[in-house]
Amino acid sequence: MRGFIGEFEELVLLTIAALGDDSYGVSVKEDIERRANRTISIGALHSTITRLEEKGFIESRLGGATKERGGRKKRFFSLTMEGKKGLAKIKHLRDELWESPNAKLALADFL
Amino acid sequence: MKDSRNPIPPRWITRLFAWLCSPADVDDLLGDMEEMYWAHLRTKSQFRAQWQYFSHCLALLFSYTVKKRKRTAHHSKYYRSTQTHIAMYFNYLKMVLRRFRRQFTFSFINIFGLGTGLATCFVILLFIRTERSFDQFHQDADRMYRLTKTYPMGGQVVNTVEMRNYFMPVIDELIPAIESYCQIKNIEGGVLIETLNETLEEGRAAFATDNFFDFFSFNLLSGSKSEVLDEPYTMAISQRAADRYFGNDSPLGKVMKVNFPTDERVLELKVTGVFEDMPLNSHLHMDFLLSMKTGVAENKWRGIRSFVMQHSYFKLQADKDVSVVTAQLPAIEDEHAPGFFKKLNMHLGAQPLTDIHLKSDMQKEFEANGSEQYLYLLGVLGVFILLIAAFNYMNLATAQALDQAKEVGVRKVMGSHRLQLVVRFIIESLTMSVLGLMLAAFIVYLALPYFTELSGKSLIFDIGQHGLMIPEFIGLTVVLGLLAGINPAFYMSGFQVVKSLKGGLSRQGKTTRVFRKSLVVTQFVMSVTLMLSTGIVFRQFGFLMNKELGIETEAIVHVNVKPKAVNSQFEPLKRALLGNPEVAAVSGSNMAPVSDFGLSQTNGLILPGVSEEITMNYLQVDRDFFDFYKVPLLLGEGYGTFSGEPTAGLIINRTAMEHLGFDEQTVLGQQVHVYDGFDPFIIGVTEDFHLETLHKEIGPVYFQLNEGSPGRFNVMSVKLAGDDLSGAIAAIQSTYDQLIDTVPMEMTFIDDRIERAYQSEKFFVRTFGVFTSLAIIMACLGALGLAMQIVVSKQKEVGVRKVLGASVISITSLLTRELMSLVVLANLIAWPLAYWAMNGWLQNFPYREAISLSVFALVFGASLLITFLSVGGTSLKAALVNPANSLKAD
Repeated sequence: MRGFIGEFEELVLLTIAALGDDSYGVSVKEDIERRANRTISIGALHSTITRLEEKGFIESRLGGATKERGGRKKRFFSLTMEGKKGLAKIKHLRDELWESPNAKLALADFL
Repeated sequence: MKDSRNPIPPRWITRLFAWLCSPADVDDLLGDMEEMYWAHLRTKSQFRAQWQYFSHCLALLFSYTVKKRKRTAHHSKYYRSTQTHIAMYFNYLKMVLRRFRRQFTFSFINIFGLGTGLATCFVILLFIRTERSFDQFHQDADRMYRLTKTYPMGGQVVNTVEMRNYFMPVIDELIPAIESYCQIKNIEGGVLIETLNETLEEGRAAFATDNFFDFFSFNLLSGSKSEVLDEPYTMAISQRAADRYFGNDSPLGKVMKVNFPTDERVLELKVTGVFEDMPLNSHLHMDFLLSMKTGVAENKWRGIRSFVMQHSYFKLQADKDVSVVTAQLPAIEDEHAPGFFKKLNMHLGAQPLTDIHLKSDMQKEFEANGSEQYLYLLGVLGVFILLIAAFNYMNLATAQALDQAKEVGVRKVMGSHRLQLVVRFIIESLTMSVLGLMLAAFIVYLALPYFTELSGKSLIFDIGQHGLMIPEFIGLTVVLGLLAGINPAFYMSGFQVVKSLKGGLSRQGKTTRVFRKSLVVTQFVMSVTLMLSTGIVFRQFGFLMNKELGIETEAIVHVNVKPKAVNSQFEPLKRALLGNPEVAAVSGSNMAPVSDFGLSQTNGLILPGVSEEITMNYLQVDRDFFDFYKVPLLLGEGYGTFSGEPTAGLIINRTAMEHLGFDEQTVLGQQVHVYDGFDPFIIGVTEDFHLETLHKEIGPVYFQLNEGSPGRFNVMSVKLAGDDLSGAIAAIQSTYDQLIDTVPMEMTFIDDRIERAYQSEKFFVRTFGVFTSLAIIMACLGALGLAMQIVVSKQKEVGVRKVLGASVISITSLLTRELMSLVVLANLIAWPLAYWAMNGWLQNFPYREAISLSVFALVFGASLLITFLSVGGTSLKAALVNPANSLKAD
């Protein structure tokens, strides 16, 4: 694994995973906006996606033009093995922390 | 969603974005944005949606994405869009060069045509620029003017730039808009500079007021600008004169002996300044500028007739109009001018300094000026030649279209757009044009010295002054390339793929053929017009050179006797010359044919009982003049047989007789009063004959016998006996040298004088000749191109005819007939054009040769012959082709 996965990057990666076959620019943006209730800039989103691709966490393929896009192609994203491993590692780390006795005590109300 | 809403996001933003992102692949990003735009349209106003779209574009542009994609594009061969174009351009160039190698003759003809056209235009442009640059170098050239004087005489209007020197100060005082003024007194005939060893002639000398160097922007190299011409008996000399007389020494403070030969006055003048040689594009060229105060201090000038007659220049204050001055001139004339001014109906005027060279043709100009009319004619010639060159290219290129049809087909199959093909062919014509430019540079380099000699104008000097006009030349080259290439480009890029690949293009559409034909006709119209014009100009020139002047001009030389040292020896010289066996006759007069009457040679004749005088030119002659020149007499006798007092008889010419209101029965014995002089009787009338050049109509002239004071003669005419020209000249020289040792002899042949008088016509004839030959050569190239085209398109017809038994001659004539008929058509169009243009030009000459049919016939024959010679070969070659070869193609 190369590089460190930031918070927004993690969010994007998870969203791509969650959207499955239908993850492309607009759908990722809308999904995050809906779930996290925050507005994200398309520039920032694509920057992040590009970096993730560069780091090898995701890959993309072209396809699926629709009339709504003026006949332009979509770029679909999917997780690479690296990406999956990275996400899993983060989840593992977090789970470990959540499972620690002190954390359980302190965060008991929110569980 | 409302239907009225535009579902498409603003195009310009999309385009801008795509352009800014080039060469990155951003199709998906644009898709994303458009999708969001659609979504926004459902919930928001169109403006908001557009704004969102715009801000998304911006966000993306500044984001890492686009930058990254652009970077990858550079490394990926699939995204190299601009580079692909460049590779394509290289491919176009490669094709051009390949064709160049394979079709060398064709390409050479093309480049030669374009190159000659460009070269001609460059020379013409340079020439026009030189002519227009005259006097522009003065600092305030746009507000400097020269005073002029105009009055009617003998039915014509006389314009002069010499006038009494008191006008200018008065005008300056009365009109506040005038900032400063400067006056110059030209020393006609020049001065002699006496050095220890020798006496040298200096033709370019003048008196000038002390502010000369402030007023004009001539560079003073040494001496103080404010003091240089302040004192009497001082002068400034040019660098050239300084080098001639002082070499490396400084001339400042040195004293030079200046001899005024027309006055026999020698002055010692101190050099107070040295100025840079006056540039070629100045109407003033002086080597010796004497302070005006010298002239004033030395009063009673004899030979420098009327010292007060000077050239006056003035400078307006900034942003004042010259009409302020001209409006007040009549009032000033009324108030301050002497009586004769009104009597002679004289008027003052002003002309801009920068107009002097091209627009002014007055009496007493410092030197002969250029002509604006010739500049226009040259400009038209240049345009003609450029057009012919462009048409040539079009013809040759389309004649070759078949060759390139396959290339067009293949390119189209591979996905070329029409526009790309247009670009490809325009690149070809531009390349040719640029190669033509190189050839043109070479031609211009070779031709400039020749042209300089032809025109007497140094264009090389002009290049030194103003640079090479490189932007203009390159611009012209590009324009020519586009002009020549645009039509073939659209024509060839329009080929249909299937036809061009199958080779079915041998027949061209009717419009194309008509267009091509009209190009050839236009070309030939231009060259035939030029040929006709040249013919007419040549004939007129020959006419001017050879027309009988009405007097004898064979074997006559003129000796200048204006210098006083010579003048005082007039009678002894005449006697001594007559003692030579080589000399047949000698005569004196104050002017010799052929030259222009000066202003000083006008006077009025007054009839008894009539108060108004009739102004005319007069000639002072000795008794021998009429016999010497064999002047034809209409009535009465010449001075040769006249026995009365010199002032008792007067001879006039026929025009003068008519002006005076006499006829052949009444004229003899009439008494007239010569203004300010005597009252002679008319004893003879001559036929009209030419004393001046043929540019001027014969005016009224009277001949006054002068016996007592030959000092008023300026010219001694000497008639040579026998055939030994050089012996005769040597004899005259030695006789002269025995009598006069102070002034070197100045002798001219009358033939030379005549030739010199028509210098500008000669230049015109030569330039016209050269350019016409060029135009003819180029038109022939065009004809050749068309012939080739005809040959190709009739290949099969020729084959079939041959198989059926047609002879080579009948086929050759079949192929040339069409072109010949075009040339005939062109002739028919060109005749009235040339007639109209040349008739206008001939109106400049009072004596002209009628435009004769023979010129037209000759040009007609010549144009047919030239065309036949240039296309005959191609046609013959086509006629000789084995029909098996031309028919098997299908």
